[in-house]
Amino acid sequence: MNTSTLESCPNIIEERQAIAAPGRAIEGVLSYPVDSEPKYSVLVVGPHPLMGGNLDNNVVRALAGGLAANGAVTLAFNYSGVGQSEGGPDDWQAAASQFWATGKVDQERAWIDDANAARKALAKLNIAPMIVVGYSFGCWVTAELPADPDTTRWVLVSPNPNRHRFDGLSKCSIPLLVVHSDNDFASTTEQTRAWFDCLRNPKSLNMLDSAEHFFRGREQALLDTVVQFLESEQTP
Amino acid sequence: MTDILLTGATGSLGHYLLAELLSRTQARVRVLASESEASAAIRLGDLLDELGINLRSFIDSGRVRFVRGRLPDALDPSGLAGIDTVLHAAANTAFVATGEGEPEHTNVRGTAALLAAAAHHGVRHFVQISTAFVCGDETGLIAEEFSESSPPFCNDYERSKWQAEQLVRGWANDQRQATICRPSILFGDAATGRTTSADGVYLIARATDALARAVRTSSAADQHTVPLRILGSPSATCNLVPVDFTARRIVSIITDPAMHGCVHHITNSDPPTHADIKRWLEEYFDIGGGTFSNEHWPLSNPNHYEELFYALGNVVQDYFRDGLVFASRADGNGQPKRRLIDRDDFLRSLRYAHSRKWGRKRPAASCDGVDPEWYFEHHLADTIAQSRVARVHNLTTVVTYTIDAAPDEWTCTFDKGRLTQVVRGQRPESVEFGFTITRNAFNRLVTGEWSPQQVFLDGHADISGDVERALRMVPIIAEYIDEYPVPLVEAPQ
Repeated sequence: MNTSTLESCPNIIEERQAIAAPGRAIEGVLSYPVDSEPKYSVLVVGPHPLMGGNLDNNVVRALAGGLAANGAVTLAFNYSGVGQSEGGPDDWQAAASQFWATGKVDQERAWIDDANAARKALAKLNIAPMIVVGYSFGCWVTAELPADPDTTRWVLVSPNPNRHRFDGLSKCSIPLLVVHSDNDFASTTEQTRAWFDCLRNPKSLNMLDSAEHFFRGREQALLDTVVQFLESEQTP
Repeated sequence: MTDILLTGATGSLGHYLLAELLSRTQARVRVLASESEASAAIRLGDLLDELGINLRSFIDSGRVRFVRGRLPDALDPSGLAGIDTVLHAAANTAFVATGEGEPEHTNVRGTAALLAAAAHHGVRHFVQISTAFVCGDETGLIAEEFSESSPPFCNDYERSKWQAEQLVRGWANDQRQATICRPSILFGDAATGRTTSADGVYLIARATDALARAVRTSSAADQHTVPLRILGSPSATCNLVPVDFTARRIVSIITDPAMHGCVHHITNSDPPTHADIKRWLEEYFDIGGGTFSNEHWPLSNPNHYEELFYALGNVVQDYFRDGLVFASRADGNGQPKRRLIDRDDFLRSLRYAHSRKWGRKRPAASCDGVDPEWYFEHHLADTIAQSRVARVHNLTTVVTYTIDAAPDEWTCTFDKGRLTQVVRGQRPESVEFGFTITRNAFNRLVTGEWSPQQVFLDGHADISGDVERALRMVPIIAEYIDEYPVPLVEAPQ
């Protein structure tokens, strides 16, 4: 297997998209290889928009661009209220107060709708199979998406089982990859492993060292891990 | 040659007073400053530069010198030795009493301390900068005289200034005179619109700005039919006076002995009405739909737009009064009224303040970038109370910012949304989390070039302590910087 590195991302095309979400348009970036037909489509669901979850996030960029360089068509998006995406909290002060106190905001259900709208937009391209990748808060968002028979692979990068419930994982039995870093502030290795052991099969857990929760400087290792999972599942 | 002690010289009125004293009189001026002489000279020099006054030349010639002290607790009375006139312009403008005891602490206790020192050193003339609104909620014609009894006050600021006036009045005797100058509501420079304050009536403009921005980004409302109840009457007036006019008038009072020992209103005999200001704001922000309402604060069932407009509180209540007229001997009897602020004046100052993000102060910047000391101890401390962060009422934490190239660090204590303390170089045990940031990234962050998220994810900053709490703070930091970025200053060529 040859994994294209992040440095090879110039060999992809990136198109800005306006995605129709309920009552608003959200901003997305569609990426695909310059010189080959995409082998699969990947929805990249980023981290919490109040914690750096946007199209410029390093993990979002690495996965969306890197997977496109490896033969996928990928779609990443800005949650409503972020960047050029319309909508967002009506009352910033109330949202900031709530987020400071609880780490959550009422807006979160709308962000699930954003992800669902992005998945539908990607599905219209008819490039099967469909893979869903969530990172951090985005892991929970993917688990809250309505069940979709066209989705065939699921990747969760740095899920936080201490904060979120992942009941949605049991709704289907597609292959699941969980990527965890040994020094993640949100969930220790023991906590993640205990949570992972309770998940349904098929599943695999990949531990990366020294990537923290943010994968700063470890984006390539993360990309390699995800590509390896997808390629192995493509060619059993 | 007269020797004058000036307090509050770096304030929005104070530096205009100093400029007037230096350019129109021969007085030697001693400036009371709470910081070192070097630091005060830089701050004040920057302010006077904008008025075309070279402070350094006056320092070099001995016309200006600095006396270190802070009212009321850290005043060295010897700083008043040889002073003829005290011009007391220092004030705290909090309308609502704070946990630190303001505005009473500065305005009443500070005045008392200054009066005691002035008496000790034989000062013969004390000029108190008060406010026309010591009349509280009285209506009708307000005379230029001491009020014998305390009226019902509209806010704690008015009460504190009235109490200070009583102290000043009690200080005067056969040997020494007390003069009271009562400006109404300070507004931008008549010629340029310049203002250094985001407070006062500019709060209404800021609220309108926030409303206009929200309406434009929402598909749910038309910007010209915003459902907004504006509390008050359209005929109520907003007694604005240009800051340069006010300073010139005060200095002319000081230089004319016939004016000493009196109360002087420095007010607008033909002030704009609430309807005028509403119309001008609507024109400037291209917004409309607000209607006057005689309901009382707080509003019942405020809609989303009303919550936005009134996010800083009832911004209109302290600035508009019905049936209030200030007597002023300066306006003369039977003379035609003088409109000091018209539409063009108002819009000029609005443009000035808006283009400077509502009065944020000039940075102590150099070609090396933004000075962290200035940023944390002045810019942040001066502006965050006016920002939306101050409305995050549950924001209580202690956070340390470390600039790794300095190396230096500042610990900021937030209590219920208010920044209550900034301490340099000591990391208390109560620190919940800390950010360490490179000097380059610090410059790019505080100027708004890079977002806090970008700074962190691109590896220019690290977090210590409770990482999750630190991450929850990030959007709050981002909002503050979006509201109050430090303007970029180009390196000299």
